[in-house]
Amino acid sequence: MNLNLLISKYVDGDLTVEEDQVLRRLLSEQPAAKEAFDVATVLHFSMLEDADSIVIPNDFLLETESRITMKFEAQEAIAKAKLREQRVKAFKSNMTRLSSFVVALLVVCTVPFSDMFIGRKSIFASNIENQTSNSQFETILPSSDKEYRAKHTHRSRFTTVSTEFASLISTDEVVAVNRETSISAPLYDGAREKPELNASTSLSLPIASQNSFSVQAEPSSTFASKENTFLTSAFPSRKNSTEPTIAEIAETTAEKTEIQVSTFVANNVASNRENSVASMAISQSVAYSLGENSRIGVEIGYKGIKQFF
Amino acid sequence: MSLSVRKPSEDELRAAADELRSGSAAAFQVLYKQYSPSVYRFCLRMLGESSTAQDAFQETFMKVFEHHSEFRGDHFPAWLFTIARRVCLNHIRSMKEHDMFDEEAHSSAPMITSTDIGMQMCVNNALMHLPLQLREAAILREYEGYSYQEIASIVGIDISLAKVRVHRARLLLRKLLAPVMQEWYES
Repeated sequence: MNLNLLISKYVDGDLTVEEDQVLRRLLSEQPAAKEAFDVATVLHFSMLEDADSIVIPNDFLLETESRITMKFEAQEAIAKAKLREQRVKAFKSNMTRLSSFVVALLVVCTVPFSDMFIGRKSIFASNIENQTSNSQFETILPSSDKEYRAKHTHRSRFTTVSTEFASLISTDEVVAVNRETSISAPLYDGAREKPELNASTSLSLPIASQNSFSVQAEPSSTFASKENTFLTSAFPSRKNSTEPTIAEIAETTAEKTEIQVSTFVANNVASNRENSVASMAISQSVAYSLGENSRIGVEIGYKGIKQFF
Repeated sequence: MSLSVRKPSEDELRAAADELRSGSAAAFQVLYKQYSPSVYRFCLRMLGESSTAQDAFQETFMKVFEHHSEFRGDHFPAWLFTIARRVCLNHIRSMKEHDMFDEEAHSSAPMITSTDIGMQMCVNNALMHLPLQLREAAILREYEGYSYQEIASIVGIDISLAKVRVHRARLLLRKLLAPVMQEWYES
């Protein structure tokens, strides 16, 4: 084996046991090998000792450090400024979205509501009144009930509640929109042509609000087999109108859109031996989507109940 | 009274190298304090002249600043020495001293004979007579203590070639220093 290679491996500490034995034998047998080995190891250790001997001028070291550090710091400052700028941009963008929401809120709450409610409150109230006092009740009620009522007229009294309400909506439980029901909402235009409107005539409010008044507009059994027009009567003036109806406005936007606009219309008339109740509710809501099922917004509307015993 | 500065641990150095990628000045300072002496020594031994070595040293760290985001892997010193080596080679090229290794040319290299300047000066002198490829291999191995794998990584060669270069550098140094070593051996 090559002596120089063995010496190099010795210096590196990479000798195997066999190589170590060979080197030892060569060193003991050959003076020239011993001399080469000594020279190589002295040279190696001399360099090793000398490794840290060079001293850097301290001023130079500090000056270089300071100069490069300043460059890093300047770059850091630029990066921070850029980040701040991005945050400001994002904030501005959010503000733009928020302001668009506010504008939508104002538009949705002001224009349609003014159209829906201003000047129509009396119509709303009279509809409730009509439903409980018009001939429908009388004609539909079984004769036995009429007799019962006739006997107990002294006990009859009416209670009418008609209030406006405004609720803040903040929910994580968005009720799925019942599309079919929403589409069947030709409650205004086509109710007469759809006498089978007896399953559920509720328009689900996509934004469930515990505080808001919610009426399940299921026709009572009394009216189930009859043509009922009470939902139509909520908006008598629109009956033959070509203007967009609330039902059309109620077309709910896709669930993931940022802003949802929904209209809720419900009516219920129920009657039995003990009492008769007519209730109506109409509301419009606008909500800002915070995520998959989270919404925040407002719901404004009317609700009315009339009950007689 | 002297203040003792605590040396950063391996983990701290690794963390600093990670942070350097994002341009942290504090991370740079940690790494600079740790590695600047060895980089300076490397430059000086490669170039043999302090003013040129200082230029190369500054240029090395300037390149660290310019390319800090490009640092990949977890061995910062190897990356740093790769830069330092390139800078030194550029300086040598600009000084028109960059020769490819030529055995015959170096067989006529002057023998180091003066012993009155001391063994280490003689070795440094002999080192400057080594061809560049052998010089950088010898410096990285003998002075900086890098493994063959690290040398291969810094120089960009195969590990076996790194071993060959270190071995040949040792042989050539012994040859160049033969008169000095003979004198030392006889004494």
